[in-house]
Amino acid sequence: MATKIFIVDDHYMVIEGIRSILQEEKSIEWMGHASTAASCLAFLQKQQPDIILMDINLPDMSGIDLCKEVREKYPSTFIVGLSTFNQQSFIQRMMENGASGYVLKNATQEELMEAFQTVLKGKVYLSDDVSQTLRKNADAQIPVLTRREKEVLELIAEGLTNIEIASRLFISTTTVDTHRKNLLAKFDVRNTAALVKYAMLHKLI
Amino acid sequence: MVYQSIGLEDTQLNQTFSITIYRIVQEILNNTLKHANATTAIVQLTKHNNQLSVTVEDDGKGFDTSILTHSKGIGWTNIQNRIEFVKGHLDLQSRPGEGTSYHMEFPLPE
Repeated sequence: MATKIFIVDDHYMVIEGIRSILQEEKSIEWMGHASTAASCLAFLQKQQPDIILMDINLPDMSGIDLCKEVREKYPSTFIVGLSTFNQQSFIQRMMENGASGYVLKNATQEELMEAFQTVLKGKVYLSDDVSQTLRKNADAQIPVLTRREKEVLELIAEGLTNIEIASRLFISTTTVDTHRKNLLAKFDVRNTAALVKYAMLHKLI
Repeated sequence: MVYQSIGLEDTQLNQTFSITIYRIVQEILNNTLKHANATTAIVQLTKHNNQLSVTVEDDGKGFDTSILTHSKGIGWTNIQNRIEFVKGHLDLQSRPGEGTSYHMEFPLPE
């Protein structure tokens, strides 16, 4: 029986590229694609593929969240993360949310087929680059943030001043400053600009 | 349970002060264990200049903080008295279903 594949990605050329790669594979049945999380969920209500290739960056929802939702609703469908980002935090969160594998968009046809075969057996597939990244960054963990720190971080990224953040969160400006200093210390950065960059890079905001 | 501290490496705190902080954290964590039904909790101590800030947070079921204005509970009264005793300030965040977060700031005794 052919393996039913579905892809969620908002880039047309990526979809077409993968489709053409898989076209000659007899063991693959192409079910189609969705370019948003919403249309993916709508599709799944009608039909369920064996494997979904899922982009991390979607216009309406992150692939990381979509992954969780799909796995909860359709536990028999496997998910393989698909992204240009070879970054530990993305990969880790995708796997935590139930993905069975992760391939980069520079994957070859062989890699892709190997990924499908591996996850169908219920095993985890990570492309070589990805598993190297995971190993390399095993020590560089993202620090644990408290709820207030996350809120302050988001508002800093929006460009608000300490005073504005204080009135938004109903706390004093000195408290905002404490949170800001804690954030700088936790991420080991010197100033707010570097803080925002770090947070963006690790998808914390 | 996650514990982390920043800037406390070579800090010596006076004993009354540190025991007071300890009892506050203990009381909060006791509440977390007893009521919150949480899976994770964070205890975080940070020091900047002459201020110590303490965050105790959980991802449990949370509660409606407005009930505290009328609360005569021993635990809560204790927490408040101890915070007041060391001239601290509390920012409490909690809502049903959204966990609980205590953030406290204390001026360090000379």
